[in-house]
Parts: sequence; C-alpha cells; structure tokens
Amino acid sequence: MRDFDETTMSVELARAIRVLREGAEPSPALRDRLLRELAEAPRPAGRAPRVWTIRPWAAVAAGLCCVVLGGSAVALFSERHLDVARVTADVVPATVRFRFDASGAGRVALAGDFNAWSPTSLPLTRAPDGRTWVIDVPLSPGRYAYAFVVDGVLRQDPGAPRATDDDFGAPSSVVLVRGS
Amino acid sequence: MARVGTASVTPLPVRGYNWATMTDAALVRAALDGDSGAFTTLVDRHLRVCLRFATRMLGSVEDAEDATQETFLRAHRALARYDGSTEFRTWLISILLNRCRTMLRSHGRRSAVIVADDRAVASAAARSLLDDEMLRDAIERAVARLEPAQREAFLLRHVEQLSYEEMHQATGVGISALKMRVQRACDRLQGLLREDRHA
Repeated sequence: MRDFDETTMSVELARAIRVLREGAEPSPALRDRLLRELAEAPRPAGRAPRVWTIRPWAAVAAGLCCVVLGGSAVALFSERHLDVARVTADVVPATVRFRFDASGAGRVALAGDFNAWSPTSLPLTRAPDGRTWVIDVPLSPGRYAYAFVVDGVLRQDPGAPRATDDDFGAPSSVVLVRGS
Repeated sequence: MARVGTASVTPLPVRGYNWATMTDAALVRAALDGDSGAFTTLVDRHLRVCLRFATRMLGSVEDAEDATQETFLRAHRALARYDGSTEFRTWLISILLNRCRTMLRSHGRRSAVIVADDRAVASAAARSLLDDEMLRDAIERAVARLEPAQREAFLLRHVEQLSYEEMHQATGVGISALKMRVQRACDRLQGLLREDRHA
C-alpha cells in the first residue's frame, strides 16, 4: 500500500505538518493543577509499601493465627475435594483454577488485579499433556480482570469474557468469584 | 516491540537518583514504589505531546486540557497495569485516545460546528496566508475538517510520529486500516490546503 512520507507529499502538506508539530505548550497553570490533583490522589494501587513496621506482640499473634488457620485449612482440604472452576460458573470459595493452552510456550504466567498485574509472580505449571498450563489461585469473592503472560506477551483468555474496561492498551479477561 | 517480563523492567535505582536520566519504565517502577517525584517526571516528559495531540483532535484548548489532565490521573490510578510491553508514551496515548473519542462523542455538536463552518474557512482563505498566525489557523481548520478517525491516524503518524506498530498498539486498529486512513487524510488535507491557496 502506498504510504505517504515527507519526501512525496506536497509542499503545502509538509508545511502543515511542520506547523502542527509546533505549539501547544502546556501552561504552568495546567501543570500546577494536574500536580495538585495527583498529590491528592491515592497512591497508585498494586504494590505493597516498601517499609513495614510491626510490633513484637503483633508478630507473635499473627504467627499463632497462622498456625491455627493453617491447621484448620489442612484439616478441611484433606477431607474435601478441592473443587475448582474455569471462570464465572461454579467457582468454589477461595480457589480458582486458571488454564491456558499453549503447547509451544516456554513460560506462562498469570497477571491480574489480584497480583498488581505482575508478569512473573504467578507462573503457571505445564500439565502432563505438555499443552495445558495450570495454576490454582485463592481469590476472595469479587470481580477481577486478568490476562496470561505467554513468553512475555499478554494474551486474553479465549475461554473467558473480555473485560469491558480494558482501555489501557492490553487485552484482558474477567473472572467473577462468588462467595460461598 | 518491548516484551513483558523481568527483562523489560529496569531495576529501581536508589533514592536520590537523577530522575531526568531514568527510563520511563524505571520511573513507573519508582512511582509504584511511592516515589511521587518519578510520576512528576513522567508528567513533564509527556504533557506537551498529550496536550498537542488532544488540542488537534478536539479543536479546543479547554477540552484538550481537560482530556490531558484526566489522562494523567487515569494513568496514575492504573499505573500497575502498565506492563512494559509498549512504550509508556504509547500506553499514555491509548488512554488519551479513549478520552478524546469519548469527548468527541459527547461534544458532537462542536465537531459539527467546525466542519460546517465553511464560510469562516473561505473567509480566512481569502486573506493572505503570509501571516504565520493565519497560516496556522488555516491548517488547524483544515485538520478539524477531517473525519475523526482519519484525523486521529494522521496526527499520530505525522505529528506525533508514531510508527504504524505503535499506532496499532495505541488504537487497536489494524495496520492496513491505519495506513489507509493516513493516506486518505493526507489526500483530503492536501485538497483542502490547495483550495485554500487558490481561494
């Protein structure tokens, strides 16, 4: 297909483009207004604060809680089959199984609202069939947008509804996790 | 195309690092780690481009400032969703495009007024174009008369100088379709400017 460039276009058009590339200098007032709004906006979501402070008694209490809750979870799941679901339907409280078919992929990970869209923190495991990649993720009830990161490239889940609010340049799917 | 993954993310420099020398990806990471100065640097780097594009698209400085401000606020809120698979500028422009499209839909009247304002165009064309300000006005009016999809493609390609791949990433439109829009926009714009010259 013919493609315009500045060597083939008319003088008028080339001059117009040069004019259009000039101008539109932001006013200091706009910058100030924007920075004020940003200063009042909540910190960008998705990453834990870098510095934690915790009191010794709180650490001990948290440890005890982990022991009690962890023991309960082991007891519960050892008796019940861990029922997992694809997407919106049949979602069991707490755990959702994500699957992606990519026989030729070297690495597949899950990125979504639940892990701040980290491309590496939730790697999928290749199933014995060599084609399917799987990961089980515990999720609280809610709506989550997500995508698979296949060898570094974001891919929408072909078996799930597309997120309607993915206006940030990347395709994403949506999973709804129902409460028990 | 930059790829998502650990390799595309520059390690966070220590505090006190010179923001001006940091890549956009490193600034995003720093901003996500709570360094508000890093996002300010991103604003300073990209504010002019966003405002220029929005001004040409919307034909109103006031609307363009609103769209630009909203774009940066949305980008700030959604910063964790920037995955590094595209240039930060391309990602930002994709948000701005959505804002501009929304505003054009809701301000349909404004666009119609510009397009229908042939008398003003003819009147301006009848005067000498030697005056720079008048030349600029004539060009901006001609751009405003392009269909929004053609205007968008033309501005991204020739004014913001994005590659077709970047345009595809920002707009979601196929590369062939984008080339066609740019070609038609150029044809139309050349015709309009020629009319101006002969008027």
